[in-house]
Amino acid sequence: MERIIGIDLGTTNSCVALVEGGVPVVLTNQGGYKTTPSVVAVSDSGKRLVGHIAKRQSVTNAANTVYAAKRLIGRRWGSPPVRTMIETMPYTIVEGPNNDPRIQLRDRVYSIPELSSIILQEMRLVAEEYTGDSIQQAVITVPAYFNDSQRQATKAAGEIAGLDVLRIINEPTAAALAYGYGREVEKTVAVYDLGGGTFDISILSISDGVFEVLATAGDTFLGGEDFDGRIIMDWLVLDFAREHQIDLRRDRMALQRLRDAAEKAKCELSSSNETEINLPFIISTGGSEALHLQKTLSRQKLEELTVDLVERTTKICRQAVEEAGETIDEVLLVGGMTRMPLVQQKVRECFGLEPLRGVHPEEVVALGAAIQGAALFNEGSSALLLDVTPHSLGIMVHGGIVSVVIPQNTTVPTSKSHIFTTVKDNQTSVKILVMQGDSDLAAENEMMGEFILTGLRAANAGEVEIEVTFDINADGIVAVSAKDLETGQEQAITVTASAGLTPEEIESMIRENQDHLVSRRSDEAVENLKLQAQRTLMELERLFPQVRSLLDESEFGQDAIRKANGVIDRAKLAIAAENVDELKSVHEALNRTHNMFKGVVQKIG
Amino acid sequence: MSELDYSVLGAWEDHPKRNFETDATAVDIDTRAAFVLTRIDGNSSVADLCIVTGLGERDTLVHLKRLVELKLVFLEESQGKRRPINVRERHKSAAPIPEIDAPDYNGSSETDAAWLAQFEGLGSVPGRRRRGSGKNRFGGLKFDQDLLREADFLTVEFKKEVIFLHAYIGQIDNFEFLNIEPTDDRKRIRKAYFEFSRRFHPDTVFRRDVGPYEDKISAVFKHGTDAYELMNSNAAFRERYLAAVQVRNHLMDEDVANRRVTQQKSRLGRLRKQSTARKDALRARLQKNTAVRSSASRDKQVGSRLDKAKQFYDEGMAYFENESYTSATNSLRLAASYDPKNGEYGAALALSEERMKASKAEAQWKRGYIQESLGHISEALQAYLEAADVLPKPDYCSHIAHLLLKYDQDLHKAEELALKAVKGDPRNIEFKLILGRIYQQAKLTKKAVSVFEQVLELDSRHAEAKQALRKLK
Repeated sequence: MERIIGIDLGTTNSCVALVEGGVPVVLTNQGGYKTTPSVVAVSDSGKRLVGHIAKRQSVTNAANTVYAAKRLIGRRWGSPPVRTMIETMPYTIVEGPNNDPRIQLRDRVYSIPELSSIILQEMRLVAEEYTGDSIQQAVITVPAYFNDSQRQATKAAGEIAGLDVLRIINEPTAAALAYGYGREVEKTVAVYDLGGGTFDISILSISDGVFEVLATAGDTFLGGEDFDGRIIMDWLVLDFAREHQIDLRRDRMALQRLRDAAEKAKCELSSSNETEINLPFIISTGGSEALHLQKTLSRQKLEELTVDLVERTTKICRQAVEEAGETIDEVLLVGGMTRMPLVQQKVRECFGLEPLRGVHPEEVVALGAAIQGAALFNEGSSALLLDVTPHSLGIMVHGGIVSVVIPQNTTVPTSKSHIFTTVKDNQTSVKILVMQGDSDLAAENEMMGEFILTGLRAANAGEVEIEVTFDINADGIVAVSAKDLETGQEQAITVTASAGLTPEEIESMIRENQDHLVSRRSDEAVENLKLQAQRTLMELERLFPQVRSLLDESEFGQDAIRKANGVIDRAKLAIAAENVDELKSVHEALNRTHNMFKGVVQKIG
Repeated sequence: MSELDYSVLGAWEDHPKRNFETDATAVDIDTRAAFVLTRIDGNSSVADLCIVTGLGERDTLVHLKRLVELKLVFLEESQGKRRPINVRERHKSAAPIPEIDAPDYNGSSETDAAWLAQFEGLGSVPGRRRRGSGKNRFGGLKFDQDLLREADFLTVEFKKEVIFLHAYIGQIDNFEFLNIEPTDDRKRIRKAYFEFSRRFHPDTVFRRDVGPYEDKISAVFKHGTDAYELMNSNAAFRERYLAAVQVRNHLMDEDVANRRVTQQKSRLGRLRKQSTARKDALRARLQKNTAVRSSASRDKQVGSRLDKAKQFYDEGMAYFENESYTSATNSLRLAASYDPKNGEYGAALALSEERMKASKAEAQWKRGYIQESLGHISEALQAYLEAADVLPKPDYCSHIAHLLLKYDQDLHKAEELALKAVKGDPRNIEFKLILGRIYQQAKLTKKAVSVFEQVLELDSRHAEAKQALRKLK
C-alpha cells in the first residue's frame, strides 16, 4: 500500500503526519519533537543545516540562517511584502532572474522553493525513519489565502524534494478534516488559523464525512512574526534607542537575539502575567564598554502593542461569516498564536462561542493533510473534501477593470463562461489577460497569464462576441480558453505559474537535491561509524590501566599494549578525518583489541 | 388577471349576447377569445358559458371580459332567478392547470413553453417522460455496451448513472439531477448534494484510469455543483424555478394524458368497427330470412298491402306531428315498403328521415358539449364525430377540426372535416382559418398559404391571416 504523508509546511514550524491503520498520527523527529523549526542555514564549512540544529546556531550565523521563507514564496520582487522582508530580515534577499526574490547564503543564491524543499526533505526523512520505508507521495498544506503562484511554488518545492505532491490543500480545511474525521458530526465549523506568518479563516459545513468549504478569507502577511516585530520594533529597539542613542537593528546578531527573546517572551506571556527579557552584552559601544538589555514585559503591555493586529483578524472573520451565511456551531483554533489569551478572548467575542479545546493547534493541520492523502487513494473513503477557489478569477477588460468569471469561494472543479466583446472598430485580435484577486482594479490583482486571440472579423465595436471559459480541475489547475462565437477561432492556455522557476530549473534542482540526499545519507553512515568507534575507544581506555597492570611484566604483554596503542592512535586519526573506509577498517581493529582486552581481564583478573 | 377577484364572479349571472353591429373580424383578439365568442348564443348565462367553452371558469371569464371591453359582446340582464352558482367550488374541480404562484407566469399553456425557456436547464420538455424507477430509471436511454465495458472497476450501475446524467445535462431539472424534492429545505438539499458529491466528485476516481468517464464525471459534478449553488443560494430564484418545474411537469402529464386519450380512442374505434361488423352480419341474415318468408306469402297478401300501407302512413304522420321523428320514420318506412309506388309516402319518409338525423345529431352534439366542458376530450370527440356522421353541418365539422388540431391528434381527419366545413360555407372566415392552421401545423405550407390568402380575399385586414402568411413566407 502506498504511504502518503501530510506535511504542514509552516512559517516557523513544520509538522509531518501519516495515517496508520485508519488512525492519523504525528511523527516525531530525531530530537523527539513533533514539530521541526522551518529554518535552513548554511554553516561555516558549507554544510546545509535544517530544523533545530539550524535554529540553535542562528545567533552566531544570523546572516546565513533563513527562517520564515514561506513569507516570500511565490511572491514577486518589488512587491510590498518582499520589501518589508528585505528591511527586517538578517539574511540577504536578492533579485532572481525571473523577477522573484532569492536568498544569498554564503557563496550561493537559493530560490525560495529550493529552501522550502530542504525543509520538506527533512520532513520526508522524519517519516522515512518512522516507517523504515521510502516515501514518495505527499499532501502539503498552504494558507487558504495563498494565490495560485504561491501554491504552484509550494508544489515545486515538493517536487524538488523528490515528492509527488498529490494535492495542495488549505491549512484551515486540513484542520477541519482532522476535527471531523471519523466522527459523526453535522456542524458548521469556523476554523481560525493564526500561524507564524499568515492568518486564515475558513467556514466549513461538515456532514457524514463530507467537508464543504463555505467561505474562506485571510491575510497572507499577518502572523506571529508580526507580533514579535511589535515587541522588537515598537518596544525594545525604540526604548533602547531612547536610552542609548543606538539602533540595535543595525547589528544583525543583536537583531537575531532580540528576535529569539521576543518570541520566547511572547510564548511565556500566554501562561504568565510577566516575563523578563535579559540580553547581556547586546552590543558594544565602539570602545571596550558593552551594553546590556534587561526589561520586564507584562501581558498587558504585549496586548497593548498587538491589539490592533488581533482586531484585524476578527474583522476578516466577520466578513467570512457573512459570506458563508450560516450559523456557526463550533470555532476551531489553529496555529501557535491562538495560545495567546487576547486572541482567544477576541475570538470568543467575535463568534459568541467558546473556542473548541482538545485539538493541538500545531499538529492538527498535518493530521488533516495526512487524512486527505489517505482519502484520495482509499476507495469508499470516509472523507471527501469539497474545496473552493480562494480568489476570484477573471480577465482584464477595457479600462483596467477586472471582469470576474469564477467568483471567490466557488467549489472546484468548476467551469464557467462569460461572453465579452470588442471595444474598437475593426479590431481583429484581442489580448486575454487572466487575473486572480479580489480587487476590481486589474493593477491590484495578480496576473496569472496572457494570450492573444486573433482572426476576429473586422466589425464595429461591440459586434464580435468572444466567449471566455475558465476551467479549474480538481487539482486546482486553471485552464482558460477564448472563442470567437462567429468564426469559431479558439485559443487556450493552461496557467502554470511556477513562481519564478522555469521547468528546467526545477529539473536541475531535483537532480542536485538527489545528489545532496546521497551525500547526506553517506554522512549519516560516517556518523554512525564514528559513534561506534568512539564508544569502543572509550571502553578500551576504561580497560587500559587494568590490562596494562596485568600484562606489563611479560614481553608479549608489552608488545600487545604497543599494538593496542597503535590501533587507538589510528582510530583517533580516522575519526578526525571522517574517512569511511579508514573508519571501517579501524572499527574492526578496535573490536579485535576490545575482545582481546576483555579476554585478558576475564582470564587473569 | 389579478383584477378578476373571484368574489365578484358570483354576480355574473347575466346573459352575454353578440353585438352584431361591431365588425368582429377587425378586432385584435386571440383564438381562445374568438372561440369564446363563437360559443355565445344569447341564451345561456355566463355560468353556462363557462361550462360550454371547456376552458375553465377563470380563462373563460378573462376572455369574456376582454370581449366586453372590445364591445363585441354585451351583457343582458338575466330574466328571473336562475340557479345560483358557486364559482369557487366549480373552479376547484375544473381547473385545467395547477395554481402557480410565480411572478410572471400568466397561466395559459400557450405561453408555458416560452416561459419555461427562460430557465436554462429545463429544456423543451414535452415529449420526454419523467424519470421513473426500476426499468424506467434511465428514461429509456440506450447504453453503448462498449462504453459500459470500460473502467471495469466501476460498477455498471454507476457508469450508467454517469452516462445518463451526462447525456441529459441541460434537460433534467436541478431537483431531479440532485435527487431532491421541490419541497426540501436547505438542509435537505445540502445533504443530497453531499451524497451526490460522494458519488460524482472527481476525487472518488483520483488518479485512476477511468478513460472516457473522467470527463463525464467531471462534467456531471460541475453541473451538479452549479445546480446546488442555484438551489441553495437564491431563494427567489428557487421559487421561480420550482414554479417552472411544476408547469413543466404539468405539461408532461398532459402529454402523457394526451397519449392515453389517443390510445383509448383507437381502441374504441376498433371496438366500434367490430360491433358494426357483427351487427351488419346479423342484419344481413335477418334480411335473408325475411325475404324468403315474404316472397312465400306475397301473392296472398297483395290486397291487404295497400290498406296496411295507409294505416302505417297515418300512424307515422301522427308521430311526425308530435316531433317523434324516430317512430315516425319507422312507421313511414313500413308504409313505403307496403306501397312503394305511392309518391306521397316516399316524400314523407324522406322528410321524416331528415328530421330524425337532425335531432339525433343535435342530441349527440349536446352530449359532446357536456363531455368537452368536463374536459373529457376523447368522449366529446366521439360524440361530435357521431353527430357529424349523421349530419355533416359545416360548423360541426369545423369545431371538430379545431379540437383535433388543438389536441394534436389526427391531422388528416381534421383536414377532411375542415375541408367539409369550408365546402359547406365557403364564405365563413373562421372555417378557413381553422383549415389554414391545420395546414400550418401539418407543414403543408403551400396549401396553408393559399387558404390564408383566401381569408384575406374575404377580409383584407384580418390580423391572424396576415401574421400567419408573413411567418409562412
